[in-house]
Amino acid sequence: MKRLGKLYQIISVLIYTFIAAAVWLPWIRCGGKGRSLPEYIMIVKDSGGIVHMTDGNPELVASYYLFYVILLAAVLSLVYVAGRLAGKDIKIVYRMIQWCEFLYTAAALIFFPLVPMGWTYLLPLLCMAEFVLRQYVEQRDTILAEARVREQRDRLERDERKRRLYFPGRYGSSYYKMILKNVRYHIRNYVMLIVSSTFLMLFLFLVFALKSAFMEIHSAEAVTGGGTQRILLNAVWMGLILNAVLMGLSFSYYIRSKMREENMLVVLGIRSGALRAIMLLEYAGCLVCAAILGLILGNLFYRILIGVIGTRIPVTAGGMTAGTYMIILGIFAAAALTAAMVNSHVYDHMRWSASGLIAPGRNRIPGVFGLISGIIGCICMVWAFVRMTGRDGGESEESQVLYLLGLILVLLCVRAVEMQRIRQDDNRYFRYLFDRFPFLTGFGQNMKKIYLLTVIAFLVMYTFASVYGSSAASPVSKEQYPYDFVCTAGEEAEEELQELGAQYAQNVKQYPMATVYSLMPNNISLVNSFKDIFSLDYAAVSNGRQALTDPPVQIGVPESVYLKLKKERGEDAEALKLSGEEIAVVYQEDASAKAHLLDWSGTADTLNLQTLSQEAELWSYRAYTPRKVVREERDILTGICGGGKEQNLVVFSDDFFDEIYQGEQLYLILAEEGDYEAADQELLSISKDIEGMSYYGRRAMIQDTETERYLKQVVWMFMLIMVGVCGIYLLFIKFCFEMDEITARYRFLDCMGMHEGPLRKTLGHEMRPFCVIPLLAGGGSAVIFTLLMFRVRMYNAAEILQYLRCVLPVWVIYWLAQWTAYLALKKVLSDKILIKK
Amino acid sequence: MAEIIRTDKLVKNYYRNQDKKDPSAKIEVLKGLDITIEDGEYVAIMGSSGGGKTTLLKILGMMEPLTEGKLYFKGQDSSLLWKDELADIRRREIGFVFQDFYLMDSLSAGENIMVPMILDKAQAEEMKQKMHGLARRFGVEKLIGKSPGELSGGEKQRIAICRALINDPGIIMADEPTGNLDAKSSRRLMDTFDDINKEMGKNIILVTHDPKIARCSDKIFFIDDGVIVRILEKKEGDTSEFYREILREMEKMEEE
Repeated sequence: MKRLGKLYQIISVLIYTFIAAAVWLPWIRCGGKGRSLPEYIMIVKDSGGIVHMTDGNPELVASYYLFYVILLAAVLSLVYVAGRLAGKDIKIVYRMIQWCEFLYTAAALIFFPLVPMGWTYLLPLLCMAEFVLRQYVEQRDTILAEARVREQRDRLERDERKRRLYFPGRYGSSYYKMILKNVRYHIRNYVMLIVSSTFLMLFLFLVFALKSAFMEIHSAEAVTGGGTQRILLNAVWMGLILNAVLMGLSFSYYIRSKMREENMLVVLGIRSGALRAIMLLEYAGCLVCAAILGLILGNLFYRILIGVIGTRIPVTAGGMTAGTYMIILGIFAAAALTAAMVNSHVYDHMRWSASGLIAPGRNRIPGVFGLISGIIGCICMVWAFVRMTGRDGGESEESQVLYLLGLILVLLCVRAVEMQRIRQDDNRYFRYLFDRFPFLTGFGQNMKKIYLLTVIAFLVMYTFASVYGSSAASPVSKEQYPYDFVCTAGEEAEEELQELGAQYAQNVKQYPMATVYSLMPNNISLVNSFKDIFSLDYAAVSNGRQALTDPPVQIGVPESVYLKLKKERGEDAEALKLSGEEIAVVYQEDASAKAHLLDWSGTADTLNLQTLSQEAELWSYRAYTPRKVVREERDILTGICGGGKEQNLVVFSDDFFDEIYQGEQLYLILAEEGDYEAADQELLSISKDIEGMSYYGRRAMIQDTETERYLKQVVWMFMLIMVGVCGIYLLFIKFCFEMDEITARYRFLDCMGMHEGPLRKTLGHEMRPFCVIPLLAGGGSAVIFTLLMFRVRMYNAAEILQYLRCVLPVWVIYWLAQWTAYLALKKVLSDKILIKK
Repeated sequence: MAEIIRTDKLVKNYYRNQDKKDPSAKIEVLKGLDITIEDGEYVAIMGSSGGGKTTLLKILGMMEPLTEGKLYFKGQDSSLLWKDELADIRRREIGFVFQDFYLMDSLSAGENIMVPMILDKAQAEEMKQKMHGLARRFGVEKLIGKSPGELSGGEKQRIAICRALINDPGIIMADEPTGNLDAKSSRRLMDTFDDINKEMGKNIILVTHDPKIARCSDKIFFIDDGVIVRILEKKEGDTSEFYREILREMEKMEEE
């Protein structure tokens, strides 16, 4: 111990001597040289103080003053070392040094600019290491003594446990037969668990398989809308979450269905290990079956999907590495463990409760909370509508999430008020007791299923159907790309482009333009950040999407050019009569593009735009100026770029445009017949030479867009079907697991003399909310959102008709499928209840 | 006689919605009971509904933990036993008979009888032999291949008794065993319990609210609102007076 103490003292003295001396090491780069702290402070003093030197930059000033904290720590270290050498441990000085280091590190991390050398991190680390060493030296003996006592106690307890719990022998074959018979008897419950876990595995497999298959195909950088991978993964991650919830739900039912038998075994004296093993074996068995089935089905669906997609896109079903399989299994196991963990209280309860002693689950029908949630829900819904129609959200997923949250809260409120009314009035109570039994006795549990089914209905009928429908309803045509090439470039490209025009083009139009940036790209949102995580877009996750994506580039033109462009397209245009900084926006997109959200931070009639930006300022909020939008329209004057996200036309007044004009030109080129390829090659080589020039060609764009549309249709239709199936399956989970309880309840009513007609009617009333509410609330909301979508996307009558032609069959099939499932379940239950008749 | 079970100021509380922090959520079910049951005794627990009879039986059978106080089983403090030791006691030393029979629907009647032995890692031959012996003794031999769903209430209860006896436990605990039976089956069942006590020498602890059933016992604990209000012991050969006393006590409890 003494030796260790001496060693610590030496190390401590060395460390604090180093901390004191470190101020003389180069701390900061100034004038091309590394300067020590005193040296730097002298330089600052000579140049008239830090405020003068840094033009009052608050961060630089603050970080400069932090150096005094380090100087103080150095002085204190000297005092401490002197004390140590004199054989005294001055604790207050010791603590002060550590506080100085802590304060400096914390503040330096905030005011980062003036801390370029490594000492910022090294000194606190040394301090911390010394502190840990000191603690160890001081407490070593106590810790070791306690550990010895604990070890001895544990050993004794282990021996005692071994002696007292001695249970030799092995369980006989009857034991395993008993388990097997029980499994066979309750096979329905196991099948339900296996099916829901299979769904999860299937989606997991698809996520990874599609990800690897499309790794090489044009992805996030693609010119068109979202990029292939993103389209696929956007669709699948929602299904993945939904299925994880479904699996948790069916596990919860499964474990509850097992309680009676397991309870009985506990009463009859089964050992906890044996009970745990039975449960684990059954659960693990189900999961293994589900994993195998999921992988087989996943492979099958994957190959079918790739087969269908492969007719248009050069993609083949490739194999996945063993590591990827391990990741899939790992995520699956994590989901399974989470489901088990969430329901572990049931197991704990089981261990200590015999039959009849299980406390009934809480059944709280919200009172005031229900009303408050209703008000909050209404606010959320209205807010979602405002976002949807306004410019501060647009047709984004956040609006949908907000709306669904509001819808759930309103549903909760409506149902809670209804149940409270029934409970408070005896006449009502006895009239509706049997009809509303699930909600009167298990409000929360049953409402959860209603919420899920409502969300599924909304997803199928709006979220997925709108992507599928608008893609299917908008065939790509030459009309959407009126020019062979659209090129934007500065003055330096003018000569070469004129030459190209003379050589290959039959017609080259040249207009003045200004590059306009809108504040944020319309695909940046909170939901997208989550999507990045689920889409396994590692770069986006680690770096943050904002840092990777440039703000979208729009084309600014004067009003006179706008009128010319209109004329070129053979359209009559009225003068906009723009004045000052007023603008008009022409969204160049077709019916498939999401509503034209150029700037999420704008208000109803303003857009934050930036012209003449410096690269560094693109991310600065202050660099964007709000401009009043006096007119918006959807028209294709030059062509659709980036799926409608880029190269929209921002029309300025001629006077204002003259102020911002810096010589940029918009070239609209129609190539000679047969010269398209040559012109394309030439443009490519020019764009490589000239910085800031960009162009796109009609053929490539049409090909890309067609590919994207097709991919969207296939993938979202697949998702639509799968999620629709999940909705039906959720109904089955609920009623199949509760079948015994419902049957017993209705048989009792039958015994009590209820006639067959009322019996069927009551059963129908009990079951109907699980079909009708989701279809009305979810489906109704989908209809409202679809109408809003027509409005915000500025659909004309023909486009609406075309859209409905594609989507109406989906709605009808979904309604019919849900209704048929409901009727089938009702029939099965009725037959079971009225078996004697 | 040796003491089998003893409780010392036994308290059991339940909490509404399992909210232990809220004092108003506390429901005091048993309020400091002192009970002693000796070897070979036939004990009944009677009382008003909701008085804590079943809870007491479940605590005595070590199916439920107690909130305060002590429970000694054959001199051992139950709070010092591990859960698996309690499971061993339930399996080997105690047989349970419930009002709703509590049989596993997935197993046949014969297999249901054998479950405690299966859990005790017994040999198959031995199990079958014992099962057949008990089935013969209680007149259910013809039923052993049937599933519980095919049996009447009385038959199910006899199967449950066979199951309770198969591990040859020293104590049989029964919670309202005649609750679901007709008068004839009830009488037959009580004769069976009597035989088990007298001939097999096993302790019987029975929860009932039926005086006719309770009069077969040697000692009755009357419980009302979680407290033992009276302990009635049968004197030698004085069955009718014992029965009258039971009726009087029940009437008194009903009046209160």
